[in-house]
Amino acid sequence: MPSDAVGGIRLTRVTFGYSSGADPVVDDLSVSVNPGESLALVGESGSGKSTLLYLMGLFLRPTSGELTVFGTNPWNYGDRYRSSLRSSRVGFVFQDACLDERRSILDNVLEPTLYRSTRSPSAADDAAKLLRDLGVTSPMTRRPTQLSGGQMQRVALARALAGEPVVVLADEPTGNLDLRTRQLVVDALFGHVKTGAILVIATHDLELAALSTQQVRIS
Amino acid sequence: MIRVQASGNERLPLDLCTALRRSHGVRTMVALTASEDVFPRSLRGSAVRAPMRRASLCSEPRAERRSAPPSGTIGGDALLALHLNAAVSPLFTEDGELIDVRGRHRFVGGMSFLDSLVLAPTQESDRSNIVEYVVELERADDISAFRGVLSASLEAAQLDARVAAPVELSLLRAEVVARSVEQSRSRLLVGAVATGLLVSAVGLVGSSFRRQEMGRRRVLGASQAWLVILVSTEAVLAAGVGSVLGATSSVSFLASRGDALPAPDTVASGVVFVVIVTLLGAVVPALVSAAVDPAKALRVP
Ligand SMILES: Nc1ncnc2c1ncn2[C@@H]1O[C@H](COP(=O)(O)OP(=O)(O)O)[C@@H](O)[C@H]1O
Ligand SMILES: [Mg+2]
Repeated sequence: MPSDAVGGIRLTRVTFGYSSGADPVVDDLSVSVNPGESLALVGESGSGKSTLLYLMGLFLRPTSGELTVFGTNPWNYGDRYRSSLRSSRVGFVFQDACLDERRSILDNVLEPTLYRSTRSPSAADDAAKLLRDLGVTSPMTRRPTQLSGGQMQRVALARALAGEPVVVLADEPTGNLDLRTRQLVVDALFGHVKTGAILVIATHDLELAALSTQQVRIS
Repeated sequence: MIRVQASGNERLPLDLCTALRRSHGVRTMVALTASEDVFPRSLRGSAVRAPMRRASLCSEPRAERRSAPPSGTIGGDALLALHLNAAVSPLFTEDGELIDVRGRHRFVGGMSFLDSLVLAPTQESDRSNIVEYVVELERADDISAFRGVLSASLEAAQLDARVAAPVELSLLRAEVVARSVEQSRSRLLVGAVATGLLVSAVGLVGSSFRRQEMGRRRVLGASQAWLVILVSTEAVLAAGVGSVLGATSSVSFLASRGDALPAPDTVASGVVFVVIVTLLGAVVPALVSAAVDPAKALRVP
């Protein structure tokens, strides 16, 4: 069970631009997601879906407006606070699996535990079990380079979900997957929401967006 | 002992040396140099590999030398600070013959000294950089007479060299040590700066290749401090392993040649030194790595 996510993620009149001169990519946006809910960010390519996701992932700081995570503004704290929030309470899935090719798939799934202050003794067993549940059949010691794209994405998904994060941020998670893997990823992500977690998906897959509690169209 | 201070690259001509040696029973003549170029590579550790062979200061033709080795004219307490790692060029007689320079090594204060050094004038083309000759006579009471003769000879030969006051061997040794220590200090400084810059440059190039990795780590929860520690630890480990390997292989190389070995604490402090300089040099790449923008590093084009 994900631990407490009370307060969810709240954006209040958030504006963000990569440079001060240009038009803001995110303009005066207000939206909130609560535990047990999912939010789909939809829009054309280049509309700012990833940017919004990065704002929620605390990689980018709003130019104006307020962003709160679990009731607090993480930008009132230092990098350590935001990093520990990411390592222990947020899971990320990207279109590109972004795995460490030099390490085994098991170690890839365990990577976030490196950055946590505590690591459960059963972490490795849990990770292996999750990989099996997600249909990763290769030996745990394999390198990601020996896997197919679909298998790599399953490993990335396991990495995101292994710590039972209260927030999952997914950027085009089904971008270039075969139908079976796509279904598996969708089931896993939305299954995780049922445990009380928050899911935010940036996607142009309208079918996927329709499964979400809320949709925000970005233009 | 008598010191002859020559400016720059002044060499004592062969016939002058020979004449002086014959007339005054010169026991030892040592060239002190500002650089080590003057001494041939074969000089290092040769005493260990070959029985000591003595040649006279101003080498006679090879045949003559062969007929009467070892010459008894050279010996005693001559000394020379010798940098083991210096690049050295061969030493020639004025006939263009490579002089056989041999000596017994002795360690003083982390430096190698040679006893019973045998030395000859070098060729014009040779970058000798000899700044001073030290001459030791067989009989101390000959000194003042010898100084007079030497001064006159130098003047007659129109050499830019002058005869300095007699010195005690111990004072001379202390001076040579001090000179060498100063030289190795400034070299150490140059080495430190160079090592630091190299580590930084390599680290910066490395961190540009690792942007994606650092971005991924940031996304998965690594703090900036964590990345700084990661990059510095890697640099220090690499430097530690590298310098231990380097020290081991150079010591075994020296040993295989029969050369004198540096003191263990000299080697150990070298390793520690490299590690510390590396740590300093790794600061910039570490900060650059930690400052990576995960959003940019992970963006699928
Ligand atoms: N690092 C950046 N610097 C400047 N502009 C950027 C940067 N990243 C993205 N952009 C711009 O921001 C806009 C939104 O990009 P993005 O959030 O990636 O959109 P989407 O994910 O919907 O395709 C685009 O116009 C893109 O060119
Ligand atoms: Mg995008």
